[in-house]
Amino acid sequence: MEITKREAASLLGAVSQKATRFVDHCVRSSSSVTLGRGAWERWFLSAARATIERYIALDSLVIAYGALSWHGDVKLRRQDIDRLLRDAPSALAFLVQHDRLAVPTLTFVAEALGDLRDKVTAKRLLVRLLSHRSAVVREGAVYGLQNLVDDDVRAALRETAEGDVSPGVRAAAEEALDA
Amino acid sequence: MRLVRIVQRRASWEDGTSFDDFFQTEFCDGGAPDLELSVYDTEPPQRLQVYAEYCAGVRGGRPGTGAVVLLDDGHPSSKVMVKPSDVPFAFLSETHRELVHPSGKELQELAAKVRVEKSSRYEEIKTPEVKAYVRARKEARDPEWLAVIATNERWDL
Repeated sequence: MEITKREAASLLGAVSQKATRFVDHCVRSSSSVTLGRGAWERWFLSAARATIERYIALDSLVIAYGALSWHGDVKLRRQDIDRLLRDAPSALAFLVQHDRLAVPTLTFVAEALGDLRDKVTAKRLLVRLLSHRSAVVREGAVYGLQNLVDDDVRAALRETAEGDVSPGVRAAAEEALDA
Repeated sequence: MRLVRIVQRRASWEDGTSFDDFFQTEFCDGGAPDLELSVYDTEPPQRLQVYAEYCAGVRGGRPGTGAVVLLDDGHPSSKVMVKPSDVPFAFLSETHRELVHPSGKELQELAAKVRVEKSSRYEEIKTPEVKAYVRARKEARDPEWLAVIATNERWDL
């Protein structure tokens, strides 16, 4: 899935407009209620979050966030990687394809991509990651490819097993070929 | 105490990997230091068991080569919390600990120390050892392993 920065900004604008309309509505209907500033802010944040989650799909949000981030800037917790793989796999693929993930996140995402339902996309992304500048990422890509071995993947793994500069990556690729 | 941590990526322990990428990969989650670091309190003879059970019960991948790194008692400021984990192996759960640090600074110091001392702390565990261990547990009709094998054919060796 391709998305430009302009489209991403437009998506975020839509989120903002919906949140603003929702807050306007709440202000009008709660004009007789007095709230302290702290309580008001907490309420606003919780309402805005609920609105965003209700109207905007998780994958759109993540894609918009990723498109507006710098290369290699996005860091995800392991549990968030699992959640995105389950609920927003296209967003996860977007973040990988556009090189938005930090190395320590990308290596675990690469391993998780081995379980992606869209095997064609997973293979394409992971074979490309075998040439990533970081050995940590290349090792993660090998683990992801273990579940996707076919002739093309085998050829890519063989090249890695024979020529990668990292002993750890070479050993992982050799094992993937033997499995 | 003989605390070990399961190595996440072999390449992160190599000289070609920057300290920042190493630290973030092995000791952080989502860019933040893991101040409740998951470790196992185990003697050398049981490390193969810990590693095999971790791979099958926590990581969920195939049997493969990996490594553990010895952390001893951790950093002088570390506190060790006994914390059984929710895994299909009683031994892995009983030996699980959380190594708690007051801040990322102490964790970073520990990481730097064990990386420098890698030659005496890093122990690789090879696939044939793991496979032989799992086959032996299967032949012994170990109920925990039989249950794992029944739900994950990658471990039916």
